[in-house]
Amino acid sequence: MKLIQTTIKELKYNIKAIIIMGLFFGLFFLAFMAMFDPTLFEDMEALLASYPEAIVQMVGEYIALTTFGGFLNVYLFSMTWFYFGFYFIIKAAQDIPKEIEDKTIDIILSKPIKRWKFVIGKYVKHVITAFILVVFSILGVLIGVFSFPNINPSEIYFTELYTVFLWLFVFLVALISTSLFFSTFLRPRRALTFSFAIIIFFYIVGIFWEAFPEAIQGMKFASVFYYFETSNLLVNHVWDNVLLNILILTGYSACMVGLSVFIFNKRDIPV
Amino acid sequence: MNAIEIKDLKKYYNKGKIKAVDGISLKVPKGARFGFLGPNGAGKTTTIRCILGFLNPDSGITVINGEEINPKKDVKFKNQIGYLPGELGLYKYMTADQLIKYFAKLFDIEIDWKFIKNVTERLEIEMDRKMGVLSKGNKQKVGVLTALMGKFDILIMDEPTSGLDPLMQSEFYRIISERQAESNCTVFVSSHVLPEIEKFCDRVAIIKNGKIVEVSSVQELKKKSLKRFELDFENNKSLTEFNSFLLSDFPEAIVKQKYQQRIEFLLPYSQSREILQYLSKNTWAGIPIKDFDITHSTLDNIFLEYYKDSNSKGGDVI
Repeated sequence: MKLIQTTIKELKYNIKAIIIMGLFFGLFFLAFMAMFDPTLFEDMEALLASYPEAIVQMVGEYIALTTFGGFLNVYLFSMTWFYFGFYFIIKAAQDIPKEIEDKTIDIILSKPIKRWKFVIGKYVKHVITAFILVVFSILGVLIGVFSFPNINPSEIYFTELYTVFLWLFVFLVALISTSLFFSTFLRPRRALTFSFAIIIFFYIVGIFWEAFPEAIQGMKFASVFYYFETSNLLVNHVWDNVLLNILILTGYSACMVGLSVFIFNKRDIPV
Repeated sequence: MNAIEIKDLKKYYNKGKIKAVDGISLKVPKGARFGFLGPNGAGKTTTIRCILGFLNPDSGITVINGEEINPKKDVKFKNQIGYLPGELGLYKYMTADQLIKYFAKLFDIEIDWKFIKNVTERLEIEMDRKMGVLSKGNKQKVGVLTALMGKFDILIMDEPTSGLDPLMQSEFYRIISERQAESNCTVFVSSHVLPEIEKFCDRVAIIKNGKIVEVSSVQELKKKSLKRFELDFENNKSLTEFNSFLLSDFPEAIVKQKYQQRIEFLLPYSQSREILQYLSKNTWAGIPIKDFDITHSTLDNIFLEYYKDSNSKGGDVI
């Protein structure tokens, strides 16, 4: 009950911002749908193929801009962490430290509310926000698919599309969990700095791992970005490791949340 | 029974270099109005935060209403506590009305709107304005409201009147007194504003550099204090003679000042009856005293007595 109350309060007072952001992302994705044109993107695909391997890696392992899946992969899913990620990193990293800094936590924890409920209440708010934004994004894509003449709905693999959005949601939750972890023991600015630093580190390691010496390429397994590689599914329609990657990201989030709760339970709430 | 009992509470920082709370033991009887007195940095807030589980003490036992608790793990005992923090933080985007409703839901409190209305009117709280635009004093009033809105056996308040004007301070203590009369709750007030502790509390603990230096009733504490005498004489000759008498017969007297035909001095409480007898029976240079005034030493004086050592050393604990 108390956990739900903190989440409801958080959502209630942020709902306008969440809806506006959702609409923004929905329209943003809808606008991208309007851009899709296989003939137009033929040249772009050839150009992209001539780019250095590292650049190509940024937009996924498999490039096929002339297909709807390939287009989505390059323009949306390879960049979604950038579109959504910053918002969640900033929000999740600052939420708890701000409560401590503003002293609003004092009244909350002076009553019988367990600390883990406070942390999870905050976390769930971000998870629900991520879910809402992803739903708006799906709507933007679906409206585009069924409205724009440049897209043929019969050529679209909807199961893959929904799965990739689910994957995106799980990935965003992993980013939120990373920021939440730092937010449980650092001050707002430090939490933000560390969150950005670690996520950029994850990005470099998870995306450009092939450019590293072989001896340290194993670092890629430590990066959440390594487990969010949608091109094989969207371009080649290959489901290998999709479920496994989703489970790994979920497990990672669970571990980070567990660690966050553990640390927050142990820490002092200073004056 | 004691409402709050703490035994050998310690909270150190920097690997023990800073002793914020250094082995405090304290008993707050049920139904008492207990003042916790000390200047900034003495360890008052740290003690309260250890009791409430915000801070992990290095050692110590906390007992609430006869039950030993682990403030960090147990939360049920907090149902019995109303708390007004020293540095109050309220959600800037909420109005007082929204805050009350939110806390009521969050803490499973049934709102007594009649009580809320009463306090709101008496403290002149603006219920429909967001916290972000309120002054410190007005926020503090909302804080008082949130602290009092539920049922509790123990009310812990850390510097409760900071930001309130004197009229509001009086009204605030009247509200607390009424609440205590109704529920017989224990009130634990931490403050460095001595007159308000003197007026409101019946028992007081003085904390200095993280240690309790005195626990007693306010009256007992006053008895340990000095009485302040102001005597007026008809002429300088009388005054000079009295001064010589005072210094020879009452060597513990502290002469604060002499001007015109007036002398001001402090004397231990135990010697005040004796000097009064001398004053009523004797004359100086053949003339009895013209006028006199005797006042109790305020808690301020007592407090300063306890603190003069640390002040002279300049030592303070964070």
